[in-house]
Amino acid sequence: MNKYIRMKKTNISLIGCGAVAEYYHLPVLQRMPEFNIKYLVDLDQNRSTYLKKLYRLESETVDDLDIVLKDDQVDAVLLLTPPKLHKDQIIEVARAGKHIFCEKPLSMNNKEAKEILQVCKQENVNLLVGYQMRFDGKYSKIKELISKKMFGKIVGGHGLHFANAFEWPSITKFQTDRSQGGGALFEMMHFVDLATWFFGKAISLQSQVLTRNKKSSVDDSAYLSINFENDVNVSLHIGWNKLTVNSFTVFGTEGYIRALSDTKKLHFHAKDLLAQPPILIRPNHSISPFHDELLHFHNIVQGKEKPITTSDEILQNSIIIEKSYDQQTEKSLIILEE
Amino acid sequence: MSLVVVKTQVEISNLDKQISDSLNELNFKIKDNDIITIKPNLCDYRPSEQGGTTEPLIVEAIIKYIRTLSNCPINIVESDHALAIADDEFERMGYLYLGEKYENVKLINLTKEKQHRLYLGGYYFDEFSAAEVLLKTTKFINVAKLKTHTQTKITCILKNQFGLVSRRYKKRYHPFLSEVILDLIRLFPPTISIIDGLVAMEGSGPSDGDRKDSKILICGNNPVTTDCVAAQVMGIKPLTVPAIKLARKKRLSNLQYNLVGTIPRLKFKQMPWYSYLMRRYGLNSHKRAARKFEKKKKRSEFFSDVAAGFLVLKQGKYSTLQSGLIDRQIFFRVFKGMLKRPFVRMKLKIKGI
Repeated sequence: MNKYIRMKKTNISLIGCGAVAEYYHLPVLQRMPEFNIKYLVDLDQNRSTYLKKLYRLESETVDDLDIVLKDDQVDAVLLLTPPKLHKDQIIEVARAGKHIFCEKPLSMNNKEAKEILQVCKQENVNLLVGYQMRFDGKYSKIKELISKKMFGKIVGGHGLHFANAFEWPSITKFQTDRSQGGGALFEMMHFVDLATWFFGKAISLQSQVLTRNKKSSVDDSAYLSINFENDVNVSLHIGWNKLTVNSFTVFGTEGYIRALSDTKKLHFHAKDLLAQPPILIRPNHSISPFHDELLHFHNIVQGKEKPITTSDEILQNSIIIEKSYDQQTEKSLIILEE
Repeated sequence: MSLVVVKTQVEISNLDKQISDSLNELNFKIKDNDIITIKPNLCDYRPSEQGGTTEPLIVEAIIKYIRTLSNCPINIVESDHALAIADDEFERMGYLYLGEKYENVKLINLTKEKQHRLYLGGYYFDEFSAAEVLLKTTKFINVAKLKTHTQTKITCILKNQFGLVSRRYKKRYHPFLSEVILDLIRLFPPTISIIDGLVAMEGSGPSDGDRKDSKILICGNNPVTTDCVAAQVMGIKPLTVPAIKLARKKRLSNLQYNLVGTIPRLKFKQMPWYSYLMRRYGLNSHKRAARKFEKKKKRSEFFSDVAAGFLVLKQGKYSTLQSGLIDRQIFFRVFKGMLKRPFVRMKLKIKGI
């Protein structure tokens, strides 16, 4: 039997048993034969026991991260804790030689991100940041079409990302506390990452980060204009409100393509096809972005693939977010009055 | 009369013996010129230890038994389905090693096989495209999983036959599932039917339910009676299962069987009756609509959503692969949207848009 191995499983531990584990990662992990969940770690043992019971897992529930770090059978960890805790936990886990999947945002600032990447490099462990939009069939198709130069020379892009993050059932409600790593731009940085993935190196940016909801204690809207190399300009509009919309458009000299959350297919408007309906393009096959992302992580741990998120991209995302908050002062706004 | 063998307290350690004892009791004989096809249940990516798919070690135990009698070719088959392609299922569910370890054993994706068009004149299919490998088969072994099902109450041998349809997207057949299954039973009758209940699934199967350790193996030489026993194990009356009911009505089986062993009465958690009825109503409505007006097909999707909503209300939570966990709060948001939709449309109409 030894010669014929059914499958090499990745032994993982979930650090943090909050909402993202309950709502997204565990339902998916339950359906992935590649993983064996050895430990559920949370300071609140009631939470880990609740999740163990809910998903009928055979994992151990512990409240001490050291138990996981000392266990040689654990290959990797899924870090699902609030952003404020990421840096220290990643460094500890990396020093124990375990691969890391970390939910976004990776760190509280660029300095922390640099430190994290440096330690991971030193300890030779792989780090995958949870930018799951890259695994959405629509966006991976757009990336593929950009690399095939389907739109000619890329001119720019526009992204719109609305969601009601106030209602996200996290235990600590960290998303509404800036000191915990909350805030619209920080918490919903997926489209910043998509722009980095699609267009490469960013050169400059202008931003406006606002609090529109009167009851909100944290910024809940952000407008960004980012200039990338090769004269590509991208504008992003991110907001927390009662609408749930994701849309991203990429413009090129040969046409433009739009991905909209509510439609199954991509809409491609080619140059010169005047007054004609868009050509519908089938997105790449994707079971769910979380599923495909974790499958990618399994392949990384097994040494079959390299992380889709490179150090440069992680750092660039982190810099864009940090600089956007720095530049948000309303002094730079031009007020139009009669 | 058909024979059904029930084994309890089945463990991985005694699996080979339990399978070979069962097949001996069913008097399963093989000749050297036989071509054997084994059809496990590989729907979704939920592994066997989570109750989703057939345990590969059961298939291996069957192969070991066959190899004691003959070196005839063995094909393990599955077709693509909406979520996945069969080759991926074989790889990810740990079936690939069977093709490497045993001589003359092949893993075959039915969707990629050469198809032959048959004139069937069945309950649903007038014509049917069958994979060549199935047509060459002399003995067919159906190895299903013991699970409850949101639309067909149980998913065991009969429902596993559905995977013999080579087409990837099979949603169009769902309202006619019982008729399609009976056509497939008549076309490719299983010589042996085996139900893997080592780890079963209860609740909202076939993919989104909860695992249940039941350590049971059901083997039979008739697919309908084997499913009857499986239904009883799960605490479901066999005649409430639509496919079994239709099989009796069409006289494919009289539901009589001899039993070896005893039927353990395990209480499987089931769909709330109102959610199940809503799904059935949706499917029947689709069925009627498909016959009359193509446009009304969407109606069944609406009822199916409502049925899922009932499930969320009853259970509190419902986890799916594509949408993650749906709780009552999310349900109410969706429900509110459904109620609001006609008013938005009316408002647009009033404004002349």
